[in-house]
Amino acid sequence: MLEQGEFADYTESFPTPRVTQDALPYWAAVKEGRLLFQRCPACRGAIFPPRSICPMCEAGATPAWEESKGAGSIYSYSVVHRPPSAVWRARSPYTIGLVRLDEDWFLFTEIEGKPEDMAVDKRVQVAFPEREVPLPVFRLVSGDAAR
Amino acid sequence: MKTPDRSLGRVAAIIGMGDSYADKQDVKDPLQLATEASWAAFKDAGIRKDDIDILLTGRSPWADRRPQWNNIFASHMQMPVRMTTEITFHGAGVNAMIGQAALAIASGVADYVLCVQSDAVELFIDATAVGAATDACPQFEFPYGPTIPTIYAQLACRYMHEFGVTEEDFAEVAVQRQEWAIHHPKAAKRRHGLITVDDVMRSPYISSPLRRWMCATWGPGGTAGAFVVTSVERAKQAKRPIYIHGFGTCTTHEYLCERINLRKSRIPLGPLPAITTTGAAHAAREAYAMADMTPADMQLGALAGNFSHTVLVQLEDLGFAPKGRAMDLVRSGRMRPGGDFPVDTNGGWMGFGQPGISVAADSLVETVRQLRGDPLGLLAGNSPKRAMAYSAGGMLACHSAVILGTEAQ
Repeated sequence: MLEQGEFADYTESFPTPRVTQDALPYWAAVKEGRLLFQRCPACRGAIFPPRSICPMCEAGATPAWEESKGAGSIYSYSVVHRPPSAVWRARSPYTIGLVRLDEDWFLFTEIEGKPEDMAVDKRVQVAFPEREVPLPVFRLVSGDAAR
Repeated sequence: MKTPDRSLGRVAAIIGMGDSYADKQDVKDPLQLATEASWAAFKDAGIRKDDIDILLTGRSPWADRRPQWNNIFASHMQMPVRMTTEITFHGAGVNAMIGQAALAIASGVADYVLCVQSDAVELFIDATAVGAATDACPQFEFPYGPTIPTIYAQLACRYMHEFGVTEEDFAEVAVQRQEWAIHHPKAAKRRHGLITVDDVMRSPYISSPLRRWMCATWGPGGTAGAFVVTSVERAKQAKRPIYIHGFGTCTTHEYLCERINLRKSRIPLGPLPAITTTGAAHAAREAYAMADMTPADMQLGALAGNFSHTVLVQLEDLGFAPKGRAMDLVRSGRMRPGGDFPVDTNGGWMGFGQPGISVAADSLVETVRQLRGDPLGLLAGNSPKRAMAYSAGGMLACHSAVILGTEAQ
């Protein structure tokens, strides 16, 4: 087996995020159970992933951090039946999707719940379960799940 | 935006092609594969190794990820050149080598350019584990445990949702790829024989809605493709020149989490946010404009369909079907063996397989072979004179389209 680079050890443990300088406040908030995103003070657009200058307008403005309500809907999803490596096998099948937050930005994230309950446009809410690696995940909003 | 110069579609041609293959019984590493293919290309072109002015490769092979792999290869060949570089925006860079070679010829800085790519994933690395570690965002995606199919499945989910396409439709795409693959001696899925929609629907989910038969496989063991590009004038002396009529490229992002949050693009991608139209549409538009041709002029196609739904999205973005309607073209049978618009005649990325980054070179090899009437597998029945060879790379990110033909324009 040849050298596989900086991810060489992930098959034995859950990978930790490779945190960028721009995203330090995001990850600090995740540890406190809060979900942050950025907004441009000039064009008012929601920005994610985090950046040092708004990429959507020509103002060159520094984005401001804002706390998300953590409410959104499923934009797309996929139930993972063949996980990438051994550590994920015990958890599978699990669902990974794109969630559209109500503040109009998207997260690539896990959606907890039964695979058969998943559907595009279903409502979800952020959660911060106890795990080896703290990550924001989403749960189907009850009532919606039964629909 | 500046439109491509049509004269660029009349300056360069491929005069030599070489291919090389490996498997578990005949193990070769990427350096060996690229060496074999290059020497075969020199011979086919009727030139010497020392005629090469510029060496282009794609990014380093998965099975040998040393940086500056292009330079390592030049050194391995004892082939000092005026210039060498990797054309690297994922797999699309391998296809884009042809256009970059044409630009070098057009500018006059080179008489002969060697474009080569090899890989041998199955023989050397665990691609399932390494794949997502390479292509998922290491900050906002990879920690959730996706595979490459999981990331691509987001597009499959949206494509079904927006256009009413079904898993059975995806199964039909797989069935048609296999109809070509069973005839190609190097195709990874050849040994499985013909399949039915039921076979596909009974195969297990990898990452829903994608079942095993709707995905490319990591194989054949290893491949390489090498191409010698020179001027149209020189090509007229060559045995079997293939003319480069047009080329175009586009890249829109690296990670899916960036792409879905893209709200504005100078390159048209339809209404945003959305992911069902890709940069392939722009790459193809540029190639058609340079060639002064339309999709209807194409008589052969090689796609970068690593999953059933990417075959469909690419057929649309390359102009062969309206958005959301590619299944009509699939059902028409025109792309099957015996059809008047053969596509993925080596079985495509799903049937031939994906030996690594060299899969984009394999599509070019197949296109050149079919245009010359010399395929390893089934001969396209319509004697094609013009072909679209397209490659994608990354997570719907990078796109390159090349139009090749048998007649100088």
